[in-house]
Amino acid sequence: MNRPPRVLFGMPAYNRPDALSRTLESLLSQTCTDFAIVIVDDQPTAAVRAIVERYQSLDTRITYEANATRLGMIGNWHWAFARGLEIHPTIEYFAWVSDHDMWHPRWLEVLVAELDEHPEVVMAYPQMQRVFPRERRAITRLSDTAGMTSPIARLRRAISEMTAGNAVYGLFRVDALERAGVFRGVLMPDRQLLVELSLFGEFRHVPQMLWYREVAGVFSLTRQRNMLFSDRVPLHTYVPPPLQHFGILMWDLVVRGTGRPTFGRMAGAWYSLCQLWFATKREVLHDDAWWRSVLATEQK
Amino acid sequence: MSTSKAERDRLRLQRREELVARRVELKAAKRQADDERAARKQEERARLESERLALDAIAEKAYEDYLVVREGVRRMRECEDRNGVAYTDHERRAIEGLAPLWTANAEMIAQLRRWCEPLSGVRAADYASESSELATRLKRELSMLRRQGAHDLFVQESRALGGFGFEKHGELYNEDTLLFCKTLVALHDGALVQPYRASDERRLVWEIGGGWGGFACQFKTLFPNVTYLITGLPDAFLVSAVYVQALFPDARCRLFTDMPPADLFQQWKEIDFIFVPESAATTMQPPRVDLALDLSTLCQMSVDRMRAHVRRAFDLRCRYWYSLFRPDASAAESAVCDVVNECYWPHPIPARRERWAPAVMGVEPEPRPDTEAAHLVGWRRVCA
Repeated sequence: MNRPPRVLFGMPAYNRPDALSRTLESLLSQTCTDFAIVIVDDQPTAAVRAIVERYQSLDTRITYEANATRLGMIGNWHWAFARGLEIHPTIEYFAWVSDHDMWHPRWLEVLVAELDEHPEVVMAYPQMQRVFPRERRAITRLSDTAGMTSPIARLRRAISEMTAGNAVYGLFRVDALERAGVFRGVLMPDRQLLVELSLFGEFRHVPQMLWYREVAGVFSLTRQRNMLFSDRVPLHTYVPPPLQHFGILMWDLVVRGTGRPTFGRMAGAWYSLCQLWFATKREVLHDDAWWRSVLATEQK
Repeated sequence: MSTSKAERDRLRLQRREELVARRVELKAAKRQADDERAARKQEERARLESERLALDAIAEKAYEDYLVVREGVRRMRECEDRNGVAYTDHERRAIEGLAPLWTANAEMIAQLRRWCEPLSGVRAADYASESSELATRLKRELSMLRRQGAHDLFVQESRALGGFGFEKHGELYNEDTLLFCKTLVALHDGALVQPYRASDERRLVWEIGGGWGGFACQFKTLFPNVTYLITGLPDAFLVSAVYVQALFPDARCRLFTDMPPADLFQQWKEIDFIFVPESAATTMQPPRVDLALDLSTLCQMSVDRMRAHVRRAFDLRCRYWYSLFRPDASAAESAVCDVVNECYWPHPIPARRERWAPAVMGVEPEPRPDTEAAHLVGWRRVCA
């Protein structure tokens, strides 16, 4: 009988037959072979299904399921994790993978070693190369919370320095991810997840270029609203994102008390307030602040 | 009055005594400085002399190695002629350029690096003046590489066998040195060399062509726990096989003609360098290949020969491919990329730069400078 895998790649797919083969091959070529892939397809097409079937015939580690109705990006990301966990309930580590980026064959080997070696680390992610249509650029900046024992310090660093859109494609410890609550129905759900997760442990940025990310478009809140939700956009998404994230944190850490036993409700309330302060400061000052994006859209 | 005169005389006498004492002191200090300078000079002379003796000893041993290598290469040559390998014009020119090495004497081998021009195009004569345009460019590139953190990937040009170049902080470098360093940086940025540092596992690296052996030496210096396989023109082994043995006197080298082809990779983990002629490359059976390196060799071949090499690497389950395109090889770049693409997913590795112009979607990127090489890393395909 086959041993259950330690790692699960959850792929929320959305109609990229042009890049799917390349992505799947990059995953199937991992030097660390102890993994399974669960693909949940939010826009099933014959082309995608044919590609997946071809690779399923070569490798039994792939599971494919087409969604009966469109879930939207948040729903699909959430489902990739939840469905993956249903199929492989004993996994230790989880990673979301897109259907168009590329993972270096050593990606898993290196990141699993990091998480195995450092039990205090809840997420590890590598350096990346940005793949533009006609050129590539190496992003060598490092940003993590390694060695920071104070949750406030980690929270501050996660908010002020980390690029959530890259870090969310790291390798997560499953138990920490479950406590942090996967993907929520807010704008910038990746940032919200990482902020909450930072309270439960450290992030480690590995100085090796192991992920190649396709750059498709520029960030905008309108684009996010269209992509993240399947039908009606919730009204609360028109509230500034730091406030949306604050609400989620208060709900989780104060009302539900999900911080326990690591920290109590009072501490949770304090962390939520700190998040609001740090995030507001960042939003006001940072180059990619949401209000700049709103202004830019209005000017257009 | 008389008191004041006596006082003045006393002061004058005192000043004179002080002056004399000061002069004596200065003379002693000067003598000491002279002695120290002489000692330093002597030390420097002794160092240079011992260096010269060491280089002479290397050259002497290199000539002995050369005589052995030449016999092996002669037999490889016969094997190549039998198999009728069709060389390109570029390769034929290289073979002609290396022809004097078939009858080399000890003096020629002592200056072997000066005979590498047919293989690399780098001429010792260009390094005579420190104020040339080349000197300025290389100095700038070296500084940039160091600023970008490539310290631990820089290996200077050895002075053995007539090594040449410009000197900075006592380190010798030339165009090849920097090109190899950039290659190592690209391999690092492609996340291919980290396992060679971190693991005790013996790996096998295959370089196609091998040039004059310069990159093999750099790689082996940084990552000693590898068996380095070179396949290519037998004539080039007259340089590379002799050069690597000169730089690694304790290295265990094996020529294709040393053993029957079936036994070539016997106890491969104990061998440091293996030299195989191109005609045997497509049938050789190494137990593993971890990385295939093409330092602008493929672009000098016909498409069929390119494809045979890439396919061989794929069939040997070699996980990674690397191709370097020298600045003057951009014409053949797309042909090589196409062939590599058949078996490996290609990933261009951007060269390190001081500053990037902001990337804007839909806007053409800046063209690559004429002096900049390009690097391509390939990941083995599952289905090819």
